[in-house]
Amino acid sequence: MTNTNPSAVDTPKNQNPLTEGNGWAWLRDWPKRPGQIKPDQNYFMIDPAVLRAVLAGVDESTRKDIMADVDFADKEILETFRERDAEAKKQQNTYRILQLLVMSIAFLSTVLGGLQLLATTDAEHPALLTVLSATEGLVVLITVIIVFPFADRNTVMSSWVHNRQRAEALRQEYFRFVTHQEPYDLVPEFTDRQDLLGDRIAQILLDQPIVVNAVQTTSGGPNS
Amino acid sequence: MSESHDSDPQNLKTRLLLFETALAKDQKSYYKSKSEIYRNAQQQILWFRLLAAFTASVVSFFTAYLSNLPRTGVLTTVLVASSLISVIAPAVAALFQTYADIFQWDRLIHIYSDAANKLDAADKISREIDLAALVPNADGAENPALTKRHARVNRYISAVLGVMRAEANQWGQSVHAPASLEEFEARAKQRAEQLKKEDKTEP
Repeated sequence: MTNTNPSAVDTPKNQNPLTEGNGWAWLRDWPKRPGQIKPDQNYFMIDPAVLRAVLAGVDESTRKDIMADVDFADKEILETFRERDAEAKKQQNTYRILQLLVMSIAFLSTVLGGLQLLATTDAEHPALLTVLSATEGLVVLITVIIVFPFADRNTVMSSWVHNRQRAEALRQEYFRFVTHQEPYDLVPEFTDRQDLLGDRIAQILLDQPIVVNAVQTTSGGPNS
Repeated sequence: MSESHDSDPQNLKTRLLLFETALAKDQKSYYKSKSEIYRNAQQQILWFRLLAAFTASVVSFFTAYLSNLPRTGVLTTVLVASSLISVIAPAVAALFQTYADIFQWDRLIHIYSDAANKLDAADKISREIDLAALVPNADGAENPALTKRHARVNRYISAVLGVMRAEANQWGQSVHAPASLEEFEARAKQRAEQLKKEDKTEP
C-alpha cells in the first residue's frame, strides 16, 4: 500500500491515552473523582500534526478538497463526539465507583459473617456474637434501604454503553464521510454530502437504524 | 467545493493515507495495547488471589494446630490473630475475583485481540494498492485500473470500519454486572426481609 508514513503510531492517541509501562496494570482503570471528567477540547478525530504531514506534499486542489471535508466533519461531529465521549466516561466512572462500593460492602458482610462463626465458639465473650450479629444486620439493612435504591447500577451501565456506542458511531461516520465511503461515494455534490452527513448524525443520535446501501445496520462502537 | 474528486488518484491516495494513519493504525495500536495491559492486570490479580488463598489455607491449618495446644497468654493472642486471618484471607481472595469481574478483563482481552487480528487481516487487502503508479486517462475516459484500485481502497476501509463496528457490538453485549455482586444483592435483600420479619415477631 502507500509507503509514506508521516507519523508512525506506536501508542494510540485517538482514545483513552495510555500511560507508560505496565506496572500496577490492575489499578489503571481505578475510578477518578466524580466531576473530574470533562469533554476533552484537545481531542481531534485526526491529529492536526498528522493532517499537516499527510497534506504536506499534495497539490493545492487535493488539499483544499480534503480540508473542506475535514473542516465540515469537524464542525458537525467533533463537539458532539467530545460530549458523548465524556458522558460515556463519566457513566463508566460512576458505574465502577458503585460496583466497587457494593464490592466493599459484600467484603465487609462476608468478614462479619465469618467473625460471627468464630464468635459462636467463644464461650468467654457471649456479647461478641450479639454485637457482630447486630453490626452485620445493620450493614445489610443500610445496603438494602439506602445503597441499592440510590445506586442504580443498571441504569448507569446502560447510559455508559449507550453513550459509548453513539460516540463510536460518530467517529466511524466521520471517517466514512472524509474518505467518501458509502453512501457518500454515491453523492458527488459537496452540499448533498453535507446534508447526508447531517441526516445520518441525527439518525445516530436519535438511535434510528442507519441505512447503508440498502442494508440496515445499527450504529455502535465502544472503547472504554 | 463542488463535487467529489474520487477519480483523481492523488485525492484517493491522500484520503487513504489519512484514514490509515489517523484511524486504522491508531485503532490497531489501541486494541493491542489494551489487550496487553488487561492481560497484565489479569495476571497481577491472579497472583494476589493465589497469595490470599494460600495464606488462608496455611493459616487455617496453623490455627487448627494451635487450638489443640494448652492455652497461654501469648498463644491465645496468636490464636485470635490467626483465626481472624483465616476469616479475612478467603474474603480477600473473593474480593480480588470480584474486582477482576468488575473490569471484565477476560472478555475484553478476547474482544480486543480478535479485533486486532482482524485489522491485521484487513491490512492484507490494502497491501497491494499501488496508487502512485496510477494516473487518470488524458482523454477523461474511465481508467479501469484506477477503478479496480478504488474498489480495493473501499474494500479496505469498509473492512476496517466493519471490524470496529463488530468489536463495538461485541463490547456492548459483553458489559455485565459481576455475578457475585448480583448474588450478594439478592442475598442481602433476602436477609433484610428476614431481619424485618424477626423484628415484627419479637414481643
